[in-house]
Amino acid sequence: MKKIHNLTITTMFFFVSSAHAGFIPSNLLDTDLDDQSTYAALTVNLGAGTTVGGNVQGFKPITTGAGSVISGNVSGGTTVTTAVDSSVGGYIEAGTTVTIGANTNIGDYIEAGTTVTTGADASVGSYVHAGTTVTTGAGTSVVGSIFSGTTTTTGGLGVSGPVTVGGDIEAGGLYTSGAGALVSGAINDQLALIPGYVPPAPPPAVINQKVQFDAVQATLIQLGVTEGSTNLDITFGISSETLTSGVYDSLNYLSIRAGQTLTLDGEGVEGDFLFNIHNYLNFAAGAKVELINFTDNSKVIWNIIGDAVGSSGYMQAAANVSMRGFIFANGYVNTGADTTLFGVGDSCGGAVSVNDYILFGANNTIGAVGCDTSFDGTANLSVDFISSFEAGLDSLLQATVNGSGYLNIWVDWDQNGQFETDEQLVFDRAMTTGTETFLADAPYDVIQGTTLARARYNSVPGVSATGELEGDVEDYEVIVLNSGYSLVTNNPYFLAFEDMWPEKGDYDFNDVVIRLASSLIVTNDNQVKQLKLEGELEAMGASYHNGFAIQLQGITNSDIDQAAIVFDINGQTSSVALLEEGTAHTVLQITDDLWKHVKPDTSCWFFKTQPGCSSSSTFSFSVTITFITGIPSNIFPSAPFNPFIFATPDTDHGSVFSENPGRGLEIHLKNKPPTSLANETYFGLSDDVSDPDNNYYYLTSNGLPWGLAINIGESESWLHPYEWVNTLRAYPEFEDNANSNGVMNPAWFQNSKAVLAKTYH
Amino acid sequence: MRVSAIYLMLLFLSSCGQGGSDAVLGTGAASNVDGLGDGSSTKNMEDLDISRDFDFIGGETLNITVINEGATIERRYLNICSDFIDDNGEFKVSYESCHLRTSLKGQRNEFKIVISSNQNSLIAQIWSFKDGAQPLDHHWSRSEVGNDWQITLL
Repeated sequence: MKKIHNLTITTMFFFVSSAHAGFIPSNLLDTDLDDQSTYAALTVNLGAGTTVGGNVQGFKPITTGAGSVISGNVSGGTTVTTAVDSSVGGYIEAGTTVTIGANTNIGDYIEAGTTVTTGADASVGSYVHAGTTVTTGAGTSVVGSIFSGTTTTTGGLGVSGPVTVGGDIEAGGLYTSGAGALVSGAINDQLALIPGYVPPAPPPAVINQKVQFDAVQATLIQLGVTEGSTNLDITFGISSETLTSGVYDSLNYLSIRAGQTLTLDGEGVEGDFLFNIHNYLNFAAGAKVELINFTDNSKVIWNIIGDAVGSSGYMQAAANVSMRGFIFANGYVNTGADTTLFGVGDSCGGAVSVNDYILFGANNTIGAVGCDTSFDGTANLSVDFISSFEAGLDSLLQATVNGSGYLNIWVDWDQNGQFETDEQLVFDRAMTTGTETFLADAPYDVIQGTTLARARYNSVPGVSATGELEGDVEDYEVIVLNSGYSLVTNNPYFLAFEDMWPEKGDYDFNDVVIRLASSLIVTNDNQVKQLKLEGELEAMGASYHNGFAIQLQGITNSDIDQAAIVFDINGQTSSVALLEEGTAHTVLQITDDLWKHVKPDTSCWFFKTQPGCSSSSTFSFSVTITFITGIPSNIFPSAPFNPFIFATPDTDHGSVFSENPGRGLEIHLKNKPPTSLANETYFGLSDDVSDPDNNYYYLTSNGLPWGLAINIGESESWLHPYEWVNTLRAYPEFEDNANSNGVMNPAWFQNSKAVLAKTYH
Repeated sequence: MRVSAIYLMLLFLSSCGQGGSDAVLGTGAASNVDGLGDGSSTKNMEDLDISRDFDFIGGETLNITVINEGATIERRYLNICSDFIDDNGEFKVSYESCHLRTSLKGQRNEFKIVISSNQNSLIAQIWSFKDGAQPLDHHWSRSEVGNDWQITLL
């Protein structure tokens, strides 16, 4: 069992490990560093449901979302705040306050420079130590003693019973007991009245590691000189790529585009992969790094030095990204929802921001749980879930293993983010090298949707879902359906709008570009029971303010189980109403102003439409709506449905309008009808020749649209034209496609058909 | 008309060759980035002649019918996926690429999926629910099958 190390970074570079043949020095990256998942010079923020395998350290506030898990220790220069239902496996130390949410479990002690406040039914595995006050919520359990410089207040009865304190209470001020509080040891309060009383000392200050990390980054850059490096230009990552070990230099940015895979082939020998990146590192939605033929001593390091002109050296990943290795970023680190960053071999994996913040989105997994060195995802275990899980029925699984051992699988049936004992699906299945296909029973009381499964392959039977062991452990996203239901997944669409309607635009089709993916759950009698939409803003070359919404033709709000709506923005639950009122058909308003969510990069005017202009901000959304009785699939609208942009209320939208048009100005795909909130008096103005009586909408006299819906397939992302670049120039095949009404050049939008000098990538 | 300060600023910039797509540049206007001389089309959008009915909405509907002509009524499972490789005659499928995942019921099952015009091939794997099961593989290709794919199980 591997110990989770304390965060003693000052010594970690000089710890000597077993020798290995890679070119990255063993005293640069070693086990102590590997066990640290996160370090930031400023804030650290973990989204809801996010798991960090090792330790977390930041100089500014550390904040975790609901249901987050940190396996190691947390050290904050100022405040540490955890939301409800969280857990920290080790201790928490904070320069000022510690606030932990209800039902949160802390495995070890809490030390705070000022106050400690716990929510209801929280638990602390050791003592609580505060420079000023300690306030516990109802039902909180503290295994050790409570030391407070001023007052200690314990809450009343919680769900789990009364407050319990296993040790003493030593308070500089008054101790106030809630109803029924049980203190096993002595209660000594008002100690400050005693001459010579010394209040609890603050925890050790967090040490700024900038000097050392700067040195590490410089050493990694120097390795490119001594080992020789290969340049990766800015077109790298547009398609899937494969590399063998070595040093790779990106003089500008390195970007793995949406849905693309970077395969790192270790070729079965020890070897390192070092990426020295001089501007920024970007993983677009669904991008992956996969390892093949890797050995445990090999390393993968992303060194974002940020020495290009105007660069801060940041790293960003959109939603559903799968990364491997360790990230050293001079600037910030920012990830979207459902992203993973696993280690390699003996490395836990993780990220460092030398000068800035770290923000991990919702449901990330960063580093191995417990920094289990076996959590390396290499060659010893692979499970395919051939069928979806259906309540009360057999499901079909296929496992491939190397060596002899025991396979155990758990599924988070209740979707609470935990693998509980009664959620075990496969029990100690003895296997030897090879592939086996077998059945496993799903329980009756499952929740429909997407959840996680965990598979472990160990040399001994009887392992649990968590904890550190030899062997391999892998997590998988799996589908749970009611009996007989189907899952239909559409290719993502790239929705590209011009926003000057009713005037013609410049036809760069980048005023608003949104990637929209969708899937349906269909019952066994062909009723659509659930619709899931996931989108991300890819670009916005607009000075106007636009909202984004989707009309579901033929569906009304009364068809929808409104209590069951799930609406997330950037991985966080949105408090804004999703369904518009007063519409004849359901309209899902995602946002009333896209500019509220993103901003251009420094020295750029727009969001990802100009050469060299990336952005630190992202806008993604996820919507799940369930229909009360199901909608017959033959009348259910087809993807991409009826998406549209509209004018943000109280903002200007051109001289065509005598006053700000607001919500009534809608811009849809060609021949898609407006909503009942659209101002139909705008039809026919300027260049628009809509003919509502004959169902022609949003077109010019020569048939041009104000929106494109591009279905490029899941293996590519559409490269939108640069700012002001007419699509005819960026995609030469567009001309014949348009003139032939789609017959010629039906794949005009492929990456291979783009003029790369005129498209954003 | 109320004009915000930022809009005035952008108008000013657009007159200097800056500003967004919705600033002041006209249709087909050439800028430095949009410049020609690289062999790309010299036409502008006004030169196109497009039917009112062509909507620029990509994707195609693929109709799938699975007919069970065999005597068996055993429960089976169908995955239709786009990412697969032929590994010495055995097809390895990435289940993340599946467009359709469903149990098969009765003698006839009908489905519709939307695919890209880029998509030229798909695999359908039909599995029996039993230990050691092997899939029945069926393939779709755009050129050979078209938009109505019938899979017959014997």
